[in-house]
Amino acid sequence: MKLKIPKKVRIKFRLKTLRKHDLLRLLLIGIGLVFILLGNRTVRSEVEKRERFYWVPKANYIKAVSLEYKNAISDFFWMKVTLTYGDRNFDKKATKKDWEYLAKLTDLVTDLDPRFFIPYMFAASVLSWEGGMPEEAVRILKKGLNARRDDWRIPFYIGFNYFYFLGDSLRASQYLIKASRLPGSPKYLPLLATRLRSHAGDIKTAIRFLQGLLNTIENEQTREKIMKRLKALKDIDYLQTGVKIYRIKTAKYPPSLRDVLALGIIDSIPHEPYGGYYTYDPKTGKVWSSTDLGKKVKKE
Amino acid sequence: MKAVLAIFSGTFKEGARSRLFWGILIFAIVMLLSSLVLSEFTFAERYKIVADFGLSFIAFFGIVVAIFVGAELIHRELDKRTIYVIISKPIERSVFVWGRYLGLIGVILINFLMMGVLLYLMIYFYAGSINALVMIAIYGSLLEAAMITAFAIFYSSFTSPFVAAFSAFGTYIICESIDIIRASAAKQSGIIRWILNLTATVFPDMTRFNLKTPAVYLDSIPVQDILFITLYAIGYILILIVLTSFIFDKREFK
Repeated sequence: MKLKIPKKVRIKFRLKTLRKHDLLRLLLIGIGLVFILLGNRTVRSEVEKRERFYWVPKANYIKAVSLEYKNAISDFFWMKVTLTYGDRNFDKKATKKDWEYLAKLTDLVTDLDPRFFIPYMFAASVLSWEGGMPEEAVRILKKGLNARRDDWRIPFYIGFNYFYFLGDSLRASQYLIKASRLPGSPKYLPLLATRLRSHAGDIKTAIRFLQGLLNTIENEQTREKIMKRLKALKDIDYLQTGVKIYRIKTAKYPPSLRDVLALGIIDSIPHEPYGGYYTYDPKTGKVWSSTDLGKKVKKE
Repeated sequence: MKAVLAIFSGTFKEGARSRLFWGILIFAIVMLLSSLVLSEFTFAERYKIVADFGLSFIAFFGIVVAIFVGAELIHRELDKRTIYVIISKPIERSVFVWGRYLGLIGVILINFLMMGVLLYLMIYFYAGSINALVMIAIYGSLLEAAMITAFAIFYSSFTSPFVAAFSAFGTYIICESIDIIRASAAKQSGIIRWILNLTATVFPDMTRFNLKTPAVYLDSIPVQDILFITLYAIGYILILIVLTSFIFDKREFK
């Protein structure tokens, strides 16, 4: 049997008990809040915390325990990547360990959900351009060859890494040919692939490749880096062409870049974007950058 | 049939009024909405992140409702002694079991519908695209929840609700790991191999119901496959509920 209590009586009853314990309850809640605020800190040193922070679980174990939630769990680890990388001034503070941590996480994410595209782009752009880990990037990207069969960007990124960071033009051209056969790939790819075989060290090839890469990368920081590099390479190409024209006109290499400028072959000597200047060797007629394209710049 | 309907509507109302159900639903909705926040922390592919988390939460909370409410479903009647009122009536006990089961499925269906509509709204406003694949993925999760409910009711017909819930949870993990069990069976030999293979054969392979990946990557799902998993689920549910009513028939109520 259910006893029916009229609504009015029920409310009165509850209000009465509320009044009775009101102060005590508020006090307890207050004490609880104070305790939380007081307890929300740690004496442990920062070093110990950071040690723990680097731990990345093994993909096989995560796969076994994530049941039908592999994609969501992969997203969770991906968020760890973006939160770590998105940290203010990460690229200035980052140590080798930080980059290895990011590479491991990206590896895990692509293991759990090999069709997730953004991590591959992250590997191709951030890990190789900013983290200096092109081998690791290539290893991660190769997983995408199978999982994203129809995506030309994956073999394109691998090809770029082989050409630009690992100095293997032959492999680079093989991957570019692979990319050129996939739907939606840009029309310049086959030409670029053949150029890689014949003119591997040519600056124009690199410029073409970098321009293609720039079109596929969304990450601002990496884009800036690529654009800087593009500017430097284009400048060098411009100056080099000037030197060639000088030589055709005068049948000798110019003593300095200023002489090319004095003849009116070039309008100006551009600024080197890495803070150095453009060097010129009158014996070989070669133009290069004093910072070796930013590689010699001291890291802050 | 009338009796089934009566018990169905009773169970449905009971479920829809239960605090546990609403508690889980509200929590699920909060978690669903949180995936909007989560998707902010990634560079791009918002649709993927929202759909991944949304579908996972729907599947997970569907399983939670199935396990906890399912394991308690018959026991509550025993506990409150309302069972005597029902078994004294001229209806078969199996009718009672079916009514209870279908009532709970109705509750779970409402749960899925609410979460599904919310997920669709989220995807529409946040990622700006709509497709039927998400609905098919939710349907797969619904079948899963229906099967786990059947397991929970089956276990609860001969054990306590706690043990039944625990066993149902274990069953869920086994059913989601059939491929791992098969792979480890291949490495074993003798009796262990035999047991592992038997487990993988007896329990349903629930990885087949996981249609989240095609929904997220916009692959097409063959209509036949949807039909096959539906048949597969109904087959298991039929067997489990019949077994449950069989055990229930043999039970003495004092």
